[in-house]
Amino acid sequence: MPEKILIVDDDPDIVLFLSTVLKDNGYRTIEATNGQEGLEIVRIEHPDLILLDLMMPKKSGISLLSDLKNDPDSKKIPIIMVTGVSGETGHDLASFFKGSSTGDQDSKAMIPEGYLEKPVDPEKLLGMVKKLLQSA
Amino acid sequence: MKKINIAIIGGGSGCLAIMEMISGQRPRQIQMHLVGIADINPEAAGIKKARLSNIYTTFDYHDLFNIPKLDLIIELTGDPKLSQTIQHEKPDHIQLMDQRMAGLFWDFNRLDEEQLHADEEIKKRSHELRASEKEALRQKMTAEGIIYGSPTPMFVIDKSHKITYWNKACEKLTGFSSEEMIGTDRQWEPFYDHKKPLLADVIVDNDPETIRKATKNMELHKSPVVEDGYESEYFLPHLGPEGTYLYINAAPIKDDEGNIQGAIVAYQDFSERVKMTQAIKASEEETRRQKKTAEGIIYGSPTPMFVIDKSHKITYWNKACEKLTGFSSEEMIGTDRQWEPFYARKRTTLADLLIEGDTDTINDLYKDMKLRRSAMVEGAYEAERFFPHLGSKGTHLYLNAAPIKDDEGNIQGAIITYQDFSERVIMTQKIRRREAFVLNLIQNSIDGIIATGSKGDIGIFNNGAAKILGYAPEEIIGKMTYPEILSEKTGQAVRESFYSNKHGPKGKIINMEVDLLNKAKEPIPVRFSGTLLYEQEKEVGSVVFIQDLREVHRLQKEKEQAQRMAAIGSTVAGVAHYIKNILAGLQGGAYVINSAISKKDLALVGKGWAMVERNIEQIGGIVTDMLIYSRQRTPDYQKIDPNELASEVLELMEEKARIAGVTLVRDLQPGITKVSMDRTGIHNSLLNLIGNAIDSCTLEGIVNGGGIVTVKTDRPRGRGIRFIISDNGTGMDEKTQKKLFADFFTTKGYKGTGLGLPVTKKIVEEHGGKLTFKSTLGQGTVFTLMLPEKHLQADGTLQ
Repeated sequence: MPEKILIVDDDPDIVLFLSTVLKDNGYRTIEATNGQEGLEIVRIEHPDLILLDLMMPKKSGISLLSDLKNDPDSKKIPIIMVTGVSGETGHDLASFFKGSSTGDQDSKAMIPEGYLEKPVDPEKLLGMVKKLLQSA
Repeated sequence: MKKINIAIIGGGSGCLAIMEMISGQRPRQIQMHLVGIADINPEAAGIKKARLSNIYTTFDYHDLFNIPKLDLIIELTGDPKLSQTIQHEKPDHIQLMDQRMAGLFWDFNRLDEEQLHADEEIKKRSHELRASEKEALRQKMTAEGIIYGSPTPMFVIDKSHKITYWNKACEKLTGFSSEEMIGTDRQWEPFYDHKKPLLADVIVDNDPETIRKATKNMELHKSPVVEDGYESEYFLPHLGPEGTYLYINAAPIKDDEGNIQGAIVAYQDFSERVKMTQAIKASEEETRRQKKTAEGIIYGSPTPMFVIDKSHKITYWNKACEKLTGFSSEEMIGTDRQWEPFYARKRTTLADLLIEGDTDTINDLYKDMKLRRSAMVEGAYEAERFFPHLGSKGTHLYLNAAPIKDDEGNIQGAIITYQDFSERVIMTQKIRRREAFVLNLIQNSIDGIIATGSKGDIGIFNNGAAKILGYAPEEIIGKMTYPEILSEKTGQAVRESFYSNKHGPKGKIINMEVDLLNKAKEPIPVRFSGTLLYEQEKEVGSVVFIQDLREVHRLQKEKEQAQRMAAIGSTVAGVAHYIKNILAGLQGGAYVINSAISKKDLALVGKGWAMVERNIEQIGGIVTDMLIYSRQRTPDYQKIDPNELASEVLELMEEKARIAGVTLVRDLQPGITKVSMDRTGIHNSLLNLIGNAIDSCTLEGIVNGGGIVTVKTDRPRGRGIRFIISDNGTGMDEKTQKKLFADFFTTKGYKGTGLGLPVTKKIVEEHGGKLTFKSTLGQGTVFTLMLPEKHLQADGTLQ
């Protein structure tokens, strides 16, 4: 049975692109267009890995990440944050996540297993997905 | 005084030292007394000396124990065993001091002696010192006493001109106390109304030239009594209520080497003597004067005048003359002191010369007075002169001196009348000074200043104007007229502005920018301000100020260029980022299409293609935004129904709002008339603002369709149109609000270009409108887009 990967992003182009890359490489994908929908799908489908956008309507990626990591049922699912927020726009996500890792228990729960900056390089994505699924 | 009896064992050098110490001791609280010495060697130095001094000696130290009232044995043999033995054998009342202790004791004593000796020396010296100080003080006090107590007014200054003594008599003479004078250089103050060096100051300065001059001017002569001293007689009008006559003697104070260290001045007041003389004369004259009441006219005349008789004595000195000179008729009449109010020293006056009929001397003496023969009065003279001694600042007088002749034509006297024109002179000087100041100001102003007469003839053309226009002032002044330095067009514009309310009120021009022609007939841009000059409502000329704008214009251009370069820089950075994202989208699309082709999945090809198309569209969007933003464009005005436009945009946003779970609320004021605006521009602006409002509701914190965006239209005060777009989204902190209109600033990551609001603002401002906002973090934001009322003309241009 191929691994099931959930893609949460409000941009249909990103969803299409990511799902195509993953499907071509033998993974199953399921999709959600916002954080709220994503949370519901996780509870039903129990995906093996989640690709999560940062900014989305209804419920942001950060909020969903926090919910998932605080839930014993889902906290073991590896999450890759896929974000367009990069150093160029004034938000340095790498140091943002590093910053929270030095914080208390609550914020520690916020650490995703990996993150990728948009535009996503297919090779990088596949390498990270493979590695995380193996170690899970 | 307590006495200690001491015996010594061991008669060596230590013993001698102690013997010496004891014999040489000064009287103290405790007095040491040597009563015996023991040594087995009868020839020991100490034993020998003791024998000479009748002190008991023995070869067996045990004998010492029997000396009555012995208090202390000093053991000086240096044998520790012996010390121990003695300690055992000695009677209890005797103390033992061994050699070590004795050494210490001797040292202490010696130190003590030295201290005492030093103390005595100090006491002696200080006594001597005090004695010499007292002597100096006594001498000083004597000198001071002599000066201070002297009935002769005296003061002393040091070489820095500071007063060191000011005696009692001097206080009485001057009315200035020594407390207020000593230590200051105000010695002039009691004597003059302005600061000037006194004889004492001249002496202290010891400048031969100054002394020579002073000797000449002050009727100064060397003192026959005091070496290097000078003497003089003065009348000091400022000293005392009626002035004071003083005899002055001033002499230098020299040190042993002959250097001048100060000066002493002594006065003798002989006013009393003078007064007495005057009083006697006055009483004599009084009777005579009263007889001649017919001459009361002279006395009462507002013109200062006096009359002298053949013998040069004053016979009349009227009230006005009293006022002018400050000398009363009582003191003047009957004397020949007519010179006194006018000159510092006695001299022959014009009146005196008239009586003598000495016209040669008159001409000679009064050369400097602009003397002329009177045209009105036979034999009279007129003159103008400044009298520095009259009044506090001197007085300018016009004087007329006429001879009084008897029936036979013999001169019997002279009458002198005065007219004080000081006020006029002072005014003239003041005006002249102010004129010089203004002229200076005009000449040296950086601004060009040009003044013309009523016919446009140029009267003032300052250096600033010369510099700006390249003419030398002398080429212009009196030779050229306004039209020659104004181009025809400028000349007309300037005239128009002067006679209308354009560029400042009528008759004035404030900061009008025009081109003037320089010498080479090139236009020079200047800021032109000016005013027409009127005299009794008649135009008599104009004054204009011109500032060279060439430098200003050059700087402005440079600044614009720099701003453009900076804008290009940030544009490149912003666009590169955005294009990179679009490129990623295109690459993604290409990937999907490739994948679809290899899988022969046509449906997926369609999806991939759509993706490519959307990204191409995005490129189109940003290019449009950038064009709008970069180009200066005039809105393409059309009459538009604002509500219709708002509804159209709202419909377009429905889908986006639905996905985001945001409710769009329409609050459009019904019956709004059409307003002139650029349809595309305002359409895009509304799209932008509503899109932003929806985005702000979809970020963190607003869950499950709680977001509400309201679009409201109205016409405040019935003019223009106002679009208000409000949301209950995240709002903005102050930092974000500050950067809101900055180019390429975005909070939306790769989804935003950062051009939306700058473009919107630009469009609105091109309409002459205003884009404002209010935002509270966590509560929402309200954007107000206000367009002013514009009226389209038939040809499509705005009114």
